[in-house]
Amino acid sequence: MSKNTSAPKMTKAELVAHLNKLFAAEEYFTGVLGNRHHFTLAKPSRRKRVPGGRTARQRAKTSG
Amino acid sequence: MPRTHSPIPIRFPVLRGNEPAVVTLDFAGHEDVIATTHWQVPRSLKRDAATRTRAADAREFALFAAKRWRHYRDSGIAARSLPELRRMISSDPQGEYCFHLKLTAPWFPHSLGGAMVRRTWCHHLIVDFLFVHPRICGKIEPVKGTGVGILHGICLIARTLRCKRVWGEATRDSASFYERQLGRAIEDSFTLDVSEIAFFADQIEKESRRA
Repeated sequence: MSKNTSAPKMTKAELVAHLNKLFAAEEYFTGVLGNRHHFTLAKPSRRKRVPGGRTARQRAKTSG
Repeated sequence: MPRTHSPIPIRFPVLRGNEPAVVTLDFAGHEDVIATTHWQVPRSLKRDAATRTRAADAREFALFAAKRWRHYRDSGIAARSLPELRRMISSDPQGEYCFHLKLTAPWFPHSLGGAMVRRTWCHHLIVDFLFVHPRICGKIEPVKGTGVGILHGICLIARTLRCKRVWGEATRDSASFYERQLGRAIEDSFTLDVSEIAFFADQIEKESRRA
């Protein structure tokens, strides 16, 4: 692996070809990396919303 | 920490359709992380099961990452910038810390993607989650290079901090991406050593000079 950090001038067409080559692995990228089955994770919590209504937490705050 | 110069945020080109377009990778703050929880799976993907699944996964991973973020933020070990991460490491070198990255561009209304990364007690980085916006992985926006760019950006941070290793879990879906990127067979985990970290860090720095 080379350590050359210079960026030679390129035409737009050359840059597009270069980026296509650089991003070749992206063809295999499904959009996410990681594991949803990680043992410390639970499903994201979703509060049930009632249209125009209040959440259970809001009701608890104002009740009693 | 040995280096004082902060290479993040970094601008580099991706492909938007067949045009180069500049994006910026930076540390994310609370608002940025929470904004990803409002991502929606585009309705137009309703009939395409494969891309809809990809988009739904991206949204789900963003939610998982945000959930983790809340935990680390409330525990006081989430860093919002590289200097802050360095300060945390200096104050307790064996502490475990977390940071999120965001990829943004003026031509895209949301963040294009993000990642949740942990710095472990032995000074390695773990890629917990990496995800791109559902419109991008759903192929509605023809943007290429976001996933590779974020991974290279993580290597840039690792090199700056002089971490000896970047590692993560490869799933059945992501193993082929890592194989292609690293040029070797990958099973259920991947590890980037110092030379690979340096190579990818150099690569993103080199690309940033074209931005």
